[in-house]
Amino acid sequence: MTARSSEDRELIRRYLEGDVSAFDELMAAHEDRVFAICLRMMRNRDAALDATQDVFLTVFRKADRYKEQAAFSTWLYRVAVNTCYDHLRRQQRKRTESIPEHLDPSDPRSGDEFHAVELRPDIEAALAGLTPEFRAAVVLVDLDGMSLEGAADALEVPIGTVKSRLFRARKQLAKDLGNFAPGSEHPSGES
Amino acid sequence: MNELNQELIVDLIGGRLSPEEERSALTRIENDSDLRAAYETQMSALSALGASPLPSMTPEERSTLHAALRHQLYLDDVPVPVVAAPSPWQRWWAPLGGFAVAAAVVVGAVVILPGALSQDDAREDVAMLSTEISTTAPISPLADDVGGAIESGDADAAAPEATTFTTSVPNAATAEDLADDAEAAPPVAAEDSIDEGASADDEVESTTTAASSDVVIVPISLPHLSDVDLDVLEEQLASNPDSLTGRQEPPSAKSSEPDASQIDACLDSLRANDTASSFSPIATTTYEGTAAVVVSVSSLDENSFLAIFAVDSCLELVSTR
Repeated sequence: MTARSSEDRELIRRYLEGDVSAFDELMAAHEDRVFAICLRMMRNRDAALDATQDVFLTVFRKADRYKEQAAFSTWLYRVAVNTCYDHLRRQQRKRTESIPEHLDPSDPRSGDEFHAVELRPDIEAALAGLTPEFRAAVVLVDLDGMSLEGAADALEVPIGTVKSRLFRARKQLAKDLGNFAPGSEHPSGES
Repeated sequence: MNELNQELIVDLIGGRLSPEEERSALTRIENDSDLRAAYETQMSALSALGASPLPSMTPEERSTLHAALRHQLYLDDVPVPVVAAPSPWQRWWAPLGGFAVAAAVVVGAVVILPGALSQDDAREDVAMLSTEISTTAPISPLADDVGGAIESGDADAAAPEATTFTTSVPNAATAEDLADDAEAAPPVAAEDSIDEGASADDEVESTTTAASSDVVIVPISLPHLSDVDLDVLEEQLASNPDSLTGRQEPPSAKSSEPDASQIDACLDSLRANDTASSFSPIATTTYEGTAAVVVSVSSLDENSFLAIFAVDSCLELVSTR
């Protein structure tokens, strides 16, 4: 058990006992990472903030049901990913999933929006082209630096599935970024 | 590219291979053009992604987030917030409810009765109470928190078309236990009735029966919706939690009336099969000619969603999951 993990459990215990300062400490420890995940998943700061708020609401409201067998952060990131899936699903119902005109990298007006996500516009556009499941794998492992095991826990899939999603997502990204190596298979032809 | 080679490349890039495995993998890649192309493609994507800074909130965003969370978790007002915090879904069914307050009224009645009667007489009377106690009480947003299985009824419980079924209050073992507990247990739901989603002026009629069995049986009324589009309903409830309040639509001619006891049994079955989730009935409906109940499901790790279950078989017919 890591020091962070022990500390999180103690903070949860204190929060459940009514120690409001534990809320501040838990937020300080995790809010940036959760926001980063949400921002890269949602691709919009307002949507990311909404999702971040929902993540922590869920976590604090259900803190009494947190099972200590798993690391708090694992549970937190699992809630984060599921919350983002949920928000994306709702967005998708409202509009066809496509890059809005004002986010088109070729559109100079898109600069501010992409800057807000803090990735290169072409990379952001390529990420936006991935399915939420593939994007989540890339966000957690390649951008957030999570281990494959941690990502598997957070995504609730076997580690082999994470590897497969990563492989295919990176291939898709490379293709969209124009870095597809000659001789490599086409992503859509992947098994 | 087969799965093994995919995993090999991902493991190689992730530094998950032993030195010996790594040498072997690199040799294979060197000698296999397909593998080499795949490896280079992966590396180019990683290179593009690499070194991107961790995005962070602005001070204003951070402040807004903290303020919103503190407000919604009652951290500004209540010293011990956790049990008092309603979930977003509770804001939906809070207007449908009032049961928790009704339960508190039962407890209150048990406290008051001993004042008018002798303690022994009061206990006997409460234990034998078989008539319904009808009361008007403010809606509590915390209906769902008073015991895991307490559900809320409809604000228009008196509406004749409403389907009524019963649910039980755990922790209230017998009416006599209620009498015993009454002095020690404050009316929690009434005390905690603080929520921006439920107006203190709202009132709901709930009917509570204190039976002499091992549970308190509480009839609950649900609105009936003749034609439900779950996606639309979900958005409607999200934007206006009160939208079902008082809504009653008669079942269509070809549909059958939902059976209250079957709804009850179905909910019990759902809860027994998934103890980590909460199942809260929203309305009755008819789905493709089948009597059904619309339920909001909230689990520990997943987000809440709406589902329609067939009343007779309790099978999930459709959901927004």
